[in-house]
Amino acid sequence: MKGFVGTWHLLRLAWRRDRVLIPATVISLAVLIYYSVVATLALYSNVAERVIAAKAAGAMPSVIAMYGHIYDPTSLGGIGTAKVGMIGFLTMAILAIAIVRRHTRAEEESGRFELLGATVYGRRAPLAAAVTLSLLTSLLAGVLTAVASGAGGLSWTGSWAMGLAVTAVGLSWTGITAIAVQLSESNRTCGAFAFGSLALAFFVRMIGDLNEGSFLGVLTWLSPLGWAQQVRPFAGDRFWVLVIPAVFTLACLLVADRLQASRDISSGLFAQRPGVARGQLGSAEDLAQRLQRTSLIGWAVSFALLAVVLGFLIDNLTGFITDEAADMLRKMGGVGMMTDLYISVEAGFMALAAAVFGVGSVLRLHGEESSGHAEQILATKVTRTRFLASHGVIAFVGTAGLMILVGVVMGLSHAIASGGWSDFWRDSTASFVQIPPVLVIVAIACVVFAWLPRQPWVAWLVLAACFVLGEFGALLKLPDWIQQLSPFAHIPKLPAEPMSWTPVLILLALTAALVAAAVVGLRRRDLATA
Amino acid sequence: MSIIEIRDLVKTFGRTRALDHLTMDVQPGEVHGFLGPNGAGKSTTLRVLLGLLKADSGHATILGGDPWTDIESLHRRISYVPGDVALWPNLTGGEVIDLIGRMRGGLDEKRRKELVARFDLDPTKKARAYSKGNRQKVALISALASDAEVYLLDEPTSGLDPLMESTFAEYAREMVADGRTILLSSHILSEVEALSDRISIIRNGSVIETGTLAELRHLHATNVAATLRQTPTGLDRVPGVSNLVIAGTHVSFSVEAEHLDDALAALGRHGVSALTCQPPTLEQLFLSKYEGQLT
Repeated sequence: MKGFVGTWHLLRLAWRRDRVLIPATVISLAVLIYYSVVATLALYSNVAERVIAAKAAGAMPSVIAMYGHIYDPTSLGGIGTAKVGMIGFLTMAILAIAIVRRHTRAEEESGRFELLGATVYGRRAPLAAAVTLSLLTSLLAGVLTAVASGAGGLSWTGSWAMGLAVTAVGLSWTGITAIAVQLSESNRTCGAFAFGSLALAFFVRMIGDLNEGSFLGVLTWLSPLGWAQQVRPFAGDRFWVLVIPAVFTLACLLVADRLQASRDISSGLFAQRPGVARGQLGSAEDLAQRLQRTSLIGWAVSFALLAVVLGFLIDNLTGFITDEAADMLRKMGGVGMMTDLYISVEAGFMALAAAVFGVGSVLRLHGEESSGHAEQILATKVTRTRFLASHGVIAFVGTAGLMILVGVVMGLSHAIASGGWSDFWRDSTASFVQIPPVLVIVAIACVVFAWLPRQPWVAWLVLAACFVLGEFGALLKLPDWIQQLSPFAHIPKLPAEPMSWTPVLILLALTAALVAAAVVGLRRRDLATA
Repeated sequence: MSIIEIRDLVKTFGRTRALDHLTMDVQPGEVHGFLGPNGAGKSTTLRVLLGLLKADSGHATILGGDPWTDIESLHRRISYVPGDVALWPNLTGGEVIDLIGRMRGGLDEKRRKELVARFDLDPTKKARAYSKGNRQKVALISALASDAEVYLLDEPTSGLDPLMESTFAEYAREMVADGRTILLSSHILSEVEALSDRISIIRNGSVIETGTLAELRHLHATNVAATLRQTPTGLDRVPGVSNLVIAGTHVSFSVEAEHLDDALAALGRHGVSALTCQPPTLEQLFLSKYEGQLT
């Protein structure tokens, strides 16, 4: 097999560039798993308590939708790793996509490959190096996951099952991204394919899980995330399932290899279409809209589809409840309570997703700056403030718009499914109330861009921290003041909690203050060109 | 009043001093050449003039205004071509020209059409498909088609073929005849020599020499090459002569301007059958400034 000359050197280059990213992500994940396991073990020392809690959680469609089923309610590992397992899978998938993309498409697009192109390397070497690094990272993540879980006190067999499930997810997305990278010229489009596949896999698995037992339940077997779940760590430890992602990955890599053989450097399989000789764009705002519109449309469509499903399920929640769970729920406040909880929890997750869009949208500004585009824009009569606003407005309006879309569609979907409009307001306001904390996160991203132009990843770190605080804050018994750092902790979780306007107004004021700070920061600093 | 006035500008990035008390003037209606080795501070100076960077101390004005605070009013009257043109990959060349032109405040339609044709640019190609030279043409066309008073050009022709270079030179002369001002940062000495009215040479963040080409030449040696009727003697004793090379009856040397008549008299004593006098090329001026750097 020829064409691999230089793979070792490119692998070393890739590792050199990612020597902080990879260990930081993988170790953070392992630490989260360890503490999560330890905390859960401390929480449920009594088997009976544990079973009830597991069954109650297992009956919550919101939990099933996000994290999947707890297959063995008596197993400690089951409940201990329910949340953290899915988070591990998603983190692994994102890391795999990032690694493969960074060392293939992104390098081609920046022109760095051309610099290497005259040196000695085979045609297959770049993809091979990127894939190898990603596979090794997946393996490392799996091992650390297993060790963290076992060291936390769970059974070693189950821990290894979970570790290998994490590795399997990494493998699957290495394969998928390797193909995505062949399909298009643009790094951004490849990202859309790869992340889109992750969203789709999550969605498919979610529908499969929510309909387990029925025909649609099969869907969970069509998703690489579903395969990882079906290994059932701590609830059967079905190692044989791992064969599926292994074969899938191999198949993807072979396809990617084939596709690669038939394309030039930096071109995609789809030919370049010629464009227009005269342009309609005439301002910084036009440009920002043009750059972001595909992404916004993609997000809006995904959100709308998801909202339809979530809304439809509102009336179908009772199907999951077993007798013991029903009993416990009655103690908690009744079926109505459960529905309210479902709606508010789902709205919370959609808000985090909207925040991902928002942060990404603001960080386009960073991309424009580091690529040299901003220099040309700011040399015209566009001021710094206007430049910030050109993308900032899209970020703010886009995220608010996405949450409004989710609320309205979810309400509509439920109304159509239940045949009545009485619950529309209750359903949709759950999403609307999440807008202020999301805007705070977007404003923080603006501040990061303005004050930390060389460290844009801080904005992502803040978002990840909010997520961890929200999901694990109570479990890990983090002090109240730390949990209160997340803006999401302050709003009333409609409809489960009563409405209160004070936190909403405070968060909106905070957003305004942060944006002002961002404007000040941007106006006083130098432009950081590449 | 100078169009651009810079006094004692200092800019430091971390431990590197990019601009070290830089002082420079650009007069209205002139092409001012800005020469210097890589890393001397040329691009940094242009960026300070555009308000992209804030100087640590010293003062700079352009068109009478402060580049850091008066962005909106000043930038309407300034056109910029960056040293490294980065275009949006999915936009076509035509779209970028129109975008930047409009963001700047307007494009002359007729000029734009003419420029696209003269520079032989295909405006329907997406920016990612352009070669480096074509990307530069996009930036150049959008700058030249605008109606600015001052043009800040950072190596505008570095990727262009000689034909396009001469097209650019034509347009530059036209613009200057029209009363506009150009600050041209370049490594192409022949181009600077041909176009510039005055030149500033920058090294290590400060201007070490500035003046018209004639003034700069006056400070340097003329190159003389002659064929004599007899083997020359005693030429090395003529004051101001250096780089003396004698090959039979052919002789060549450099002589400082004030000692030129002594040298010519010395040659005349031997009988001259052929004589060439060349003023120093800009390359010689430039390189002689940097001889010190290498030793």
